[in-house]
Amino acid sequence: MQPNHHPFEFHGKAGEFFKIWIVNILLSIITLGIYSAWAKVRTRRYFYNNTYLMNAPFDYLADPVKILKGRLLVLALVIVYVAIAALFPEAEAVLILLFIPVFPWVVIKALKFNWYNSAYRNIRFHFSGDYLKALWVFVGLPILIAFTFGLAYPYFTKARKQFVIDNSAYGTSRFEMTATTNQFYAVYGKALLILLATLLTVAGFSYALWQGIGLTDGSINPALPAILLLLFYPFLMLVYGYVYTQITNLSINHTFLPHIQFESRLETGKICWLYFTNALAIIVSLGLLIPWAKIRMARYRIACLSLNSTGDLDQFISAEAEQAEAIGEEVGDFLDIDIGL
Amino acid sequence: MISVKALYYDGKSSVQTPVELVFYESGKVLIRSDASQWDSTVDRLSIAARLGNTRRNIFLSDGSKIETDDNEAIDRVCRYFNKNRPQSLLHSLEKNRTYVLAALLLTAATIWAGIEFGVPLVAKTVANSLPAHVEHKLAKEALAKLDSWLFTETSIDSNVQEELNRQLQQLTADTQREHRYRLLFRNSTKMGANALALPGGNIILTDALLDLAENNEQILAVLAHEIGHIEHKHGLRSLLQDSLTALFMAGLLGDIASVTSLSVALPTVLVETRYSRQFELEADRYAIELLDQQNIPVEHFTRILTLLEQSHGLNPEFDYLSSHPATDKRIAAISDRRK
Repeated sequence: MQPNHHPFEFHGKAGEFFKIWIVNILLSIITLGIYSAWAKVRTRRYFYNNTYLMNAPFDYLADPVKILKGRLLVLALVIVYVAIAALFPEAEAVLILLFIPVFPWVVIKALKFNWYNSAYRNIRFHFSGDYLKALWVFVGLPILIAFTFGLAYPYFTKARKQFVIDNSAYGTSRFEMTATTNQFYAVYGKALLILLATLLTVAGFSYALWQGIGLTDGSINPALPAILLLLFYPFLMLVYGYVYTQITNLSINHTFLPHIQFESRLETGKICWLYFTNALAIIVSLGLLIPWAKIRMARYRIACLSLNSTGDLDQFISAEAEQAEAIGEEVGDFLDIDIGL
Repeated sequence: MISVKALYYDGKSSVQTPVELVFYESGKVLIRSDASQWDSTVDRLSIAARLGNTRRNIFLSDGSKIETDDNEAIDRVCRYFNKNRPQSLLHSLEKNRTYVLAALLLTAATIWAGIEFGVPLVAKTVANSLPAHVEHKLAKEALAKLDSWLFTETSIDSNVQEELNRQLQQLTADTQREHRYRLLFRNSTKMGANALALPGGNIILTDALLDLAENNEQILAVLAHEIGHIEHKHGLRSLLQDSLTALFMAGLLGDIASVTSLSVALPTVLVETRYSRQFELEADRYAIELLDQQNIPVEHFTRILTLLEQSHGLNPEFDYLSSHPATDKRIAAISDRRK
């Protein structure tokens, strides 16, 4: 049977989102941060509700009150931590050690909360990863990376993607990722070559600059390090953009639901161009173009996404599942954890 | 009677069914598909708050859901039955240009006031209420780090050290005695001629600074400036201000960009260097008063500032990213206060 091709579409508009964004910020300030939980839900909803697949939008259904409770709990934990660290400096290392086994639990809780509150056609997504596996992926593998001088890093990326995707489900249907470890190593191998080429280029530039603007008496122009950093930043962004693009394409192109195969066609050049122009626009506009930058990025990422299906999209059945609390999500937010999908 | 076209999902499977939704004045709601029809009431529906022009969700009590693009019709239903009052207020805020502009101005004003007054005030209050041993602990850690990274042993004669220490005690005789002042001598090729004030009362002088100074009064002027930093608790306050600024920025932009990204880091750095320059000027003002009391002409201070600038070969134009104000601006500020 010939598969049907269905693209994802993004309908969000920068002007409309700007208004929602600025009202969110103002109300968050006026309410001393309490409204930020509602602001978060409204922002997420705007992006989910504007993402369409086959004439149906995605839904974000989280309860702001739960997010607020999660945030307050995180705040309380941080205050306790800071107080203990200030009063008993020796205890700080112990606290950090204690947090290590909690970390995988936080990741699982955050994914559970996010997936449970994401829906499409009134069927929720689910996450069901178990703790020991998460402990291996998020604590065991990073230790392995340290011992192998980074050689295990591509394997870590693969294991992370595999853990997230294989434990996700839409209704009762499980996702599955079939990309191999070798494919991940190939991406990082190429990235390493790009990085080496970059370093050589920058070294060459630096030498030329050194000759050009280094002062005649042999001392260093104080602006030189800043100039080098500025030169280096776009190159670094290129390597980062390459890894992001290729890893995203690789994992999504090998992701399946029953009768469905996903497809991602991101291009490194376009992603880098978006990163670069977005950063520039945000700085020049003193932050006012943040909503525009976010919409632009979402539009491109979603436009590159599609699926091929050999069945119809009516076949999915909802699952009974426990509700999730927001605490994991909020700890994750606070620590700026990129769960990555 | 209001009738809208909609899509129905039963919540058990992903099947999408086109329906017609009819609201009656009585509160009765009719849901009609090609195959069947059934009814409910407005009270039993949970209508999602409007969000721009995104498709509107209506949740039914049995877990099923209806979606419609006809936001205007649903808004009329909500108004008629007095549903979702607070949420619809939000949409009118977001829709109205004047309100959005007002929100923008208010937000900008709040950010400015927070950075200009809020953060420094909170940091100052907290710094003044913290016990003295916090500063000592900070200073101890900082000194250990500096010693391992930057400093080597001094080659200054111990008699000179003692004499300068004695003069420091004279200089600080009238201070509030909260800090115990002590001079430390270090050599550093990386820092060149420099002086550092550690929280709690330790002042570090580099060998190169002693070589650079043309007379004793110039060293005392540098010491007076460093005493200003210590008396105003600048070390602790800048630590607090920097963490507060980072928190403030992250809170403001946190939902928008991650804390580690350039668009959050850059404004944070700019604000922090601004605070640092303000502290330098505050320490300068303290130094002038102290030098006046000791009958040391302020020209020694401006002279050593000029010498320091020459020795570091600093580019005076490079102001925005600098932790110190440009020397000519400092000297101009000092002469202004002398008039």
